[in-house]
Amino acid sequence: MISTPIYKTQTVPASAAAQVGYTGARRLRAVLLFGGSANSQVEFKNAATDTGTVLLSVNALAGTSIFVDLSKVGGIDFGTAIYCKPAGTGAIAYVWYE
Amino acid sequence: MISTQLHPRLTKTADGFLTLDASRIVSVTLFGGTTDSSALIYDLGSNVFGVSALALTSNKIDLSRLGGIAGQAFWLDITGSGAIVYIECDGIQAIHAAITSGQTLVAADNGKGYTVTSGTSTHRLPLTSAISANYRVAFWNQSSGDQTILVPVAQLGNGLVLNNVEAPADGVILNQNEAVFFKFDGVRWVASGNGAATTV
Repeated sequence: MISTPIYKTQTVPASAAAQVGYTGARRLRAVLLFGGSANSQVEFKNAATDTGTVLLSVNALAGTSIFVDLSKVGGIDFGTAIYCKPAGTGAIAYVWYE
Repeated sequence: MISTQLHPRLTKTADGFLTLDASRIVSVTLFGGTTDSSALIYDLGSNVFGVSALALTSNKIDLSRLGGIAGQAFWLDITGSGAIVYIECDGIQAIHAAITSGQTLVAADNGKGYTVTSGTSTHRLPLTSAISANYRVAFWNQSSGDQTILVPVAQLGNGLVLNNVEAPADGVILNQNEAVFFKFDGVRWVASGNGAATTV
């Protein structure tokens, strides 16, 4: 039997920036930025749409991936919502959140 | 005495299923080969994880603190010459070779055989009432690789249509380049490339 999940997860490709989860207070626990064939970036905004304040930004060189585990420091609070916006050819953001 | 391994571990060098049962990936290590490499993991056809590494570098992602990634049927896509992916995953079930057209599937637990008969563009795998709801079948499109579908067989009698696979009440039609996996009793897999039954 496998264990119980701790956090919710969501996949957000650069081709489809999206809100993470539903609108409301959220806590970002971790992100893995899968770098595509070009340098990539992902921004996390405190909003339900592509507006609001950027609370976290992560970059990765082409062909590399960056894993940022914020669970050790309690994550980052998003009071309104989490909007995830990756950029870069083939970039994908994998998000763990509450 | 040595200590017990915390999680079962898989070593993969080629595309393929990691598991066809509920499972959780707790770490992924990508050993980069001589070219830039990547490992993408899909669950029932949806991309749920990916990691990349430059040539001659490696990248380990430890997800244990986050509770890992849960899924029902993980499929792994590997790119890069010489790349190796090491995966620690709870709930691993051994995966056997696919049944493809013209091959015979023999159910080891009840002795009944199921033959894939040939057609011009489709193949039919007969299913009988001997197959219970505990059995599952997964379709694997060998061309695209990432179109993984896992459904309880009990649903097949309702005329399930998935991935261009039409499943009438009496069987499943497989398109070309698709394979079928059978699972018995939630534990064992029966698969064969030559008519002989193999049980895990």
